[in-house]
Amino acid sequence: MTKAIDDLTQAVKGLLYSSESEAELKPVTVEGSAIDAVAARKLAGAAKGVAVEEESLDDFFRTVPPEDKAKFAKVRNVLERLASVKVFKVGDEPEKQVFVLGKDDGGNVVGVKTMVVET
Amino acid sequence: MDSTFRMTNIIPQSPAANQHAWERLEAYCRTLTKEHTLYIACGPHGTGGEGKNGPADQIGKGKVIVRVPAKVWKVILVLPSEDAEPRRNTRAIAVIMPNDQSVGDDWTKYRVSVREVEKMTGHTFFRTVDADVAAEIKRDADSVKVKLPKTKVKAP
Repeated sequence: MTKAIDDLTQAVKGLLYSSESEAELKPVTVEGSAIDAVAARKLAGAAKGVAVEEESLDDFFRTVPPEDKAKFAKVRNVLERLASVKVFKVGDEPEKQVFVLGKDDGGNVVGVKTMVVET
Repeated sequence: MDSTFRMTNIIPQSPAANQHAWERLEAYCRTLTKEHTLYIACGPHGTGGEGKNGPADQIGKGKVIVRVPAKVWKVILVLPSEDAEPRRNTRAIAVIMPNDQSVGDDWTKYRVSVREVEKMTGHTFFRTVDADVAAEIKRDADSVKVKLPKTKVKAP
C-alpha cells in the first residue's frame, strides 16, 4: 500500500459524501498512468458511450455540510498532494459514480471513489 | 432558487421513486416548459416508506429526525403562458406515488385527478380560479398520451 492510499484510507474513514443520497468514500488505485475519461469509465465498469463529466475539486467539495468541513478538509489536503488531480462523474442516470484521481510521489494513479444521486 | 435547497424543503424519498418515475415526470415538466407555464405543488403524505435499506418510519440520528412519508404527490397546472387564465379545458396533471422501491420509470400510471390529491391531503388547489372552472379541471385524471423516454443509458 502506498503512503497516499494509506493517508486517504485514514482520511475518509467514517465519512459520508452528500448529494441527494449519502455514500461512503473509498480509496482506489488505478492501473496504468492515464487520468482521463477512459480510465474513469473503466473504473466504473461503464460501457464506451456512457457520459463522463469532469469537474473541479472545488465543485467536488461544495456539497460538504458545515459539520463535516474539518474532516473533509483533511481529505482535500491528501488529494491536493497528488499531481494532476481530476474529478470525474460517470453515468447517464441520476446515480453516478465519482472518482477523484491523481498521481502520488511514485507516479501511481490513486484517489477516492464515491457515488452521487443528482436528479 | 435559494429557497429550493433547504432542509425544510426536502423529504426522504425512495431511490426508485426519486431516480425513476419522479425524475421522469420532472424531465417531462421541463419539456413542457418550452411552450407552457407550469404551476407545480408537491409534497409528502403519511408515514412509512421503503428505501434501499428497507422500510422506515423515520431517518436521522440524535435530535435530527425526519419522518419518512408513505406517499409523494404532485399537482401540475399547465398554462399556455404566464398570464393565461385557467379554463375548463386547462390541463392539470396530478400523481400520487408510493414512496417505496416498487416505482419504475412509468410515471403516467400514477396519474390521478387533482380531486383525489385534495381528498388525500386536505389541501384545496386553484383557490383563486372560478369555482366551476376549478371543479372541471380537478375532476379527471390527466389522460394525455405521453411518450415515455427510454432510460438514458446507451447500449454498449
